[in-house]
Amino acid sequence: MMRALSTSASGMRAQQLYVDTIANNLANVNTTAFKASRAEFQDLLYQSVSPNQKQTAAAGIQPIQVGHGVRLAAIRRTFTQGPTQVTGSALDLAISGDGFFRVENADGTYSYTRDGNFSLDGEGSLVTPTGMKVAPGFSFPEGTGEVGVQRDGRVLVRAAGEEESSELGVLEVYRFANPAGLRATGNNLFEETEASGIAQPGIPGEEGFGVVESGLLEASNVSVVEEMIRLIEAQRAYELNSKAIQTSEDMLSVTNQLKR
Amino acid sequence: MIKALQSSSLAMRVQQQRHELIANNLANANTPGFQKLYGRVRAEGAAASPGANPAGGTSRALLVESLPSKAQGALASTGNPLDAAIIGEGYFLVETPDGNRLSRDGGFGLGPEGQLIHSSGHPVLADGSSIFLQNDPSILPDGTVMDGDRIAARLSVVAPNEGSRLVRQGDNLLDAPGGYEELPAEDVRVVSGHLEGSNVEAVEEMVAMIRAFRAYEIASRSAQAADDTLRTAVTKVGVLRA
Repeated sequence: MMRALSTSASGMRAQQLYVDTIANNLANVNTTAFKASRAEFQDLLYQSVSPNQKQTAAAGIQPIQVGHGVRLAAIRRTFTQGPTQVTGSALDLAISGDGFFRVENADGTYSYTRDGNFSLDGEGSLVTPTGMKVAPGFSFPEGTGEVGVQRDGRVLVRAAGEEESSELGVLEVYRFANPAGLRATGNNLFEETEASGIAQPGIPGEEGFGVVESGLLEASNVSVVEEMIRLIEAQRAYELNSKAIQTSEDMLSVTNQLKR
Repeated sequence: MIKALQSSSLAMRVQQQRHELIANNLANANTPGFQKLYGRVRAEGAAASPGANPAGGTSRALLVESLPSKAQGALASTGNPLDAAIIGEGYFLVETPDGNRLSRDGGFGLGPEGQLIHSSGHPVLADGSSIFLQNDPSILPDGTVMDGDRIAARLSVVAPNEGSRLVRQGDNLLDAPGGYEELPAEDVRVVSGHLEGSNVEAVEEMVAMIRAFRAYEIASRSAQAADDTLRTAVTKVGVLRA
């Protein structure tokens, strides 16, 4: 009886984690370049129980296998392309296809992001909204009039009053063998891990790499309808498990009343 | 009379085991590729051992068998190209340190070197060996894994040998002690971008839970009745009244 209680408890805990991931997806429905994640479950170990091994063998039936419930296997992120939104700002960049921008952390290490909501800081560097430098570092000359980023990552600037624009450098993008293995660190950033593999740099538009679109931002890839359906699924399964706990309890109470 | 108490307690134990199976099914209501187990109660007695005690039913033992339901779980679209669901018969093959295991859970991912892995972290077998993928991998309806435009291998989809049972290992893995054989390509249907949900039906499980609970209650009443009769025998029979 106690086994059924803990089995159902593991079910309730799993559904709660399911709701947690759904809530996080829904909270980020308007977060630039957010990638939805999903909880995945696995069954727990099974125990073979049999009232009488000899009888079971004689009757030609297998002992019963009683499971111990469920556990969270993984929370997996889906890196499908989100829809793009027109912003009109030349330094808002979206990657259409595979790839990440690389930004420099305060300690000199790198993080990766698909959020291309960039701007220029006081020193003429290309930075993220939180002030992290976008790699490779660009220094825009003072008095820069117009800035443009081409689909192949070339950054063009034109000084005020000039006709010709000049190339400042190329904005590289990076891809991973297994983006699902990246570790999310918040602020729309990801870190390289052993599971993701090493970042491979590339020029936007090269084989396997997406192109950079200027004046656009990638929206969140969360589908509200799908999340709502999963929420219903999770809530109902949670209720079912609580009913199983109640029944276990009722059975225990019947057992208690046996002896009068 | 003591026998009546014994068979009542046996019946209670059987219903308890059925309830434990139901609780596990409900706990796995959202586990991909989970096949529910249902308990079947068998009365072992006159039929199982001919000639033995044909008159009395009191020596019967109740046994529960746990049988998996092979019903197809609902397919849910995930958008992940490496998610695969089998329609109809068959299991994916996963290589573990303890030997190859079967699984209906097709929520695959890539390991550090691009190796195709099962949700348990073990490599998935295709054409009998694990595979490594680099560019935009996808899975075709017959189970062929594409690495970009290149055909990498075909996922091994197997079925256990006739009459052999599957032993559950946890982690969405099943052991086939009786062996298995690979299904030919034309009998395999794999849908990529989808996961097969658990085949647990809430209504069925709730009804089964009510039945198990009521049967448990009834058996407890029968134990109490036996207790009452015993008490009568002990306290009333043979009492001399002046």
